[in-house]
Amino acid sequence: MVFQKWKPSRMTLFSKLHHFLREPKTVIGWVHGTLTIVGAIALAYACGMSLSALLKGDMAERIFPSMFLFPLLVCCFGFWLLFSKNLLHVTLKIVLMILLNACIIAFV
Amino acid sequence: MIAKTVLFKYLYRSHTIIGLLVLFLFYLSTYFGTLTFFMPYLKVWESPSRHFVPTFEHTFNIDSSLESVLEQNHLLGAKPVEITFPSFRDPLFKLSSESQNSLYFHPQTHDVLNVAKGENLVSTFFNELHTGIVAPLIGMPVMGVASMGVLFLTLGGFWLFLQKRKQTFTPKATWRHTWLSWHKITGLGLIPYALIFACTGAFLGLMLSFSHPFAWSASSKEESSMRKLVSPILFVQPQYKSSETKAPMLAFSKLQALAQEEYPRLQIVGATLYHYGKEGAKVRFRGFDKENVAQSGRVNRLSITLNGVDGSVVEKRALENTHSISRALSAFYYVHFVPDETLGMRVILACFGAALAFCLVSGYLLWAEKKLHQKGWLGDLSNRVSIAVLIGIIPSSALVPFLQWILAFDLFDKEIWVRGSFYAFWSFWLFYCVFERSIVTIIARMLKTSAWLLVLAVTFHGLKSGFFIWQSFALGAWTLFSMDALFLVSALVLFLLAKKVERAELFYRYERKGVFDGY
Repeated sequence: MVFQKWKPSRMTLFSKLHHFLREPKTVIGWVHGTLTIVGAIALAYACGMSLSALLKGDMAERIFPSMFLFPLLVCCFGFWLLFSKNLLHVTLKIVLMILLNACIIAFV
Repeated sequence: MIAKTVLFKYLYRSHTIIGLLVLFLFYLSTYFGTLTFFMPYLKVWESPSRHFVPTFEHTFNIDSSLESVLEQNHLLGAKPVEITFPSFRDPLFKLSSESQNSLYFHPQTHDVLNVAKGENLVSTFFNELHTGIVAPLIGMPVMGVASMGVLFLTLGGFWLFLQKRKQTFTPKATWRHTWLSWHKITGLGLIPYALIFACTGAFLGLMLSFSHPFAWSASSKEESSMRKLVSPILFVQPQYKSSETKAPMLAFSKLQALAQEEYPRLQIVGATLYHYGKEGAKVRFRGFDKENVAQSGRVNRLSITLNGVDGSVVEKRALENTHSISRALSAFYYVHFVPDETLGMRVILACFGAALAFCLVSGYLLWAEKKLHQKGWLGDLSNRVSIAVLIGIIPSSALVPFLQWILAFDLFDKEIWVRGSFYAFWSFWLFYCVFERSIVTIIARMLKTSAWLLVLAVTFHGLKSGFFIWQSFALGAWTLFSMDALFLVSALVLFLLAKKVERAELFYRYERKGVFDGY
């Protein structure tokens, strides 16, 4: 009898990941929680950087508003990411917001 | 959008998890922060050099000895000399200059005082514990993150309250509901206080050291140091040309009176001397606006500069001439430090601080109640560790003022001895919490030890300084008297609490088998 060597199917892995990301949750898991905390801090920094790039005036007038707003931004993004149906939504929100802010910082 | 029931669940769960993560750190910050509201008075109480009866409103006259003092201490050079006037924050007259140790003078006798570094050990140590700076590099940012966590808890808690209000709820007479009610009442009542202190705490702890991305973005990717970019705008120091020709100066009190006449709204707290005794001498009087204390705080002092020879006005820096960010920064610092406020405001804020500490404790007790009905060692062990942190900090911090007075002031490395004893004593309580089976005994002993240490601190303060509480009262040394009284009242409250804990049925609920009996 010849045993065929088992090969992991790329499709299976992808569908597993897809299922994991799209699965609606009723409780907050470790991944959701960690993504929310890290994502909220990253988005608050990205948003603050965009704000500093967009504001007019001297350096103090451009830097300090972002510094004052940073703690509030972290909380707002925290709630926004927390209330996501599934992990895919959390990831998409982070990626899209980072892209938007990266465009602002790069082109302003 | 997620369903409302899931939203409530997410909010509730995140409130619990973030709460447990930041509770202990923020409790320590709140506890020591509440103590540091009394820092100016504690500074006087702990320092033998500051043990004298000050004049009314700390008035002084240094006209006769200012020039000789500056000459004797080599302060008549090109560098500006900063003078800090005696005040409730520090009753001593202070002179400081760049790259030179500060000099302290008795405001009445004008004697130079040898103020040892360790004299302000207690207030410095408590302040460092409050900011987290005792853990180098990571301490302050971690406290900043904890403040952000509390901001999240405050906003999330209010949201939870709004969500829960819509549901029909029948309160049951259980301890869980009692803690929930207290947590809710204190939490809702403290929303403005928590928001202000969490926002400013996060700014001071985290943003002052981690604002590089904003600086980099604002400077078109050229510079990432916020201080380098901002200091030349916000903290410009005036430069005055020097002259070698000697000239007679107007009396210092005369100059001060002229400055006050020219700028009546300025509450003068100090002065800077430029080229004193020379022809181009300038004296800059700085202080805060009596009608706008918040915007003219420590980072945005207003000033009036006079010519030292004839008293003419050289420059006036009024509130409307200051940078808008300096005013905002000053208001931000003001709500956190209340630098120019005296006892009344400080007592009110300390009461709010104590209420916030209670709110955090009641939040923990809510979780403890939940764990009480679950099997396993986690609930019991976490209760014991929590007692060591939340209540064990009281006797450990009470040990510090006691050691300040019982140990000799000239003891080599006194600071290390005191700080080391604090940590060792705190660790002792952690071991004792695990060793002793009865939780009631642990709490009662912690509270009684704190009470005894405070009484002993007051006693040794009297014995070594010669200012016993009744003598301070008779002489009118009100700062010393009120600090002694505060310590004694706190000792009495702690002693009564210990008696109450021994009798209260509530604490027996948390007594389980103890770790040495197995689970």
